[in-house]
Amino acid sequence: MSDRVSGKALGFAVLLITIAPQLALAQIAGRPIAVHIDSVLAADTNKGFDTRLAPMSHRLKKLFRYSTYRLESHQEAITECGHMIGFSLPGGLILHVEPRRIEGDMIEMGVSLFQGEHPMMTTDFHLMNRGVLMLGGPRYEQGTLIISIAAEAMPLHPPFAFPNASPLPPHAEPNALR
Amino acid sequence: MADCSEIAPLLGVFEDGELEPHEMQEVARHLARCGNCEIVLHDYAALGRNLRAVVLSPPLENFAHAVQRRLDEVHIPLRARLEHYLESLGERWTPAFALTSAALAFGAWVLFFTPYARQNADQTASAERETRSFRHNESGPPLGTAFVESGPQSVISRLEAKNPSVAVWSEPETKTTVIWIPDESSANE
Repeated sequence: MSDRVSGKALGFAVLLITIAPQLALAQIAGRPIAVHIDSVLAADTNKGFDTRLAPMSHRLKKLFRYSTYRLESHQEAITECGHMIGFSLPGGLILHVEPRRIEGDMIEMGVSLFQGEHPMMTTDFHLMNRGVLMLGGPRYEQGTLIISIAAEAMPLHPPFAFPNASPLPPHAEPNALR
Repeated sequence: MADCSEIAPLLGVFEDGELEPHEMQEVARHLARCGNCEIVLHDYAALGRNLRAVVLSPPLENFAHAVQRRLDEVHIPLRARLEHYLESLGERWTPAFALTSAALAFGAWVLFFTPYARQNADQTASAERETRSFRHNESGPPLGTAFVESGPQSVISRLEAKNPSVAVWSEPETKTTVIWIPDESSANE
């Protein structure tokens, strides 16, 4: 009797050992990630804040000392780990974003910024889920372009809502380049 | 056709109704025409009735309770009780031990042999390589590569820029990290 129970227990454990990690990995790999890109013109032209930037105005004030902030574009896309997505930004800039893996509450990502065909910057980083990383510096019109990159690992099943998403301006580009 | 010597041994069993169907038929046919065997059969029947009449059926009320009481009164030696306890313990502990061993093996396997483990090992190795690379570059001119830990909100493990003058900072209140790449034209001004 006890031998049979032991055999069943061992068989069950072996089954768990074989299947569980694969199932877990499959779930992580298949988890969608929402990427939000905001392109902001920052300049010293004393025109204040674009009202559409209200959700991120506090962040911009804390980080920079410009007198004018204007939202140039808001783009968002949903992708998966290992899939790179491209965003066409103002000023002929192209941004490649590739979420690579989810580790706990951090998302490992690779980001490359191009001026046309020429690479300007490449970085790999871990971003807190729903965190924001900003790229800045490229000259644009009378000021500088600031690019806000936000990522969120979405649940496997909808509904999904990005809590800090900027409002979509009328001229926003709805789809990222794939 | 069977004669009396063959039928006689079957009569008692016939009376009890325990013969095979073909034997029952054979005996019944014989009895229909043999008075002696019929008398013997009646004797068997009378004997059975008399025996049943003298046998007393024991009362079964509280039988189980009485048996249990008797069992409780029986003294089981300590050695026998100890053996029984160890035996039952073994029956419970064998599957428990097997399950615990399997769980430990599973945990060890996840820690050391799954893709998670490889991933962590790769990350550690990668971080060490990046750190070594950064330290190596400290002695010479900046090559535009950096290894920056910018707080819990984000951790930059690699940064390569065309312009070597790259600034990275974090703002703790908004938990935001900024990578600043000055425009080449403005950097040269």
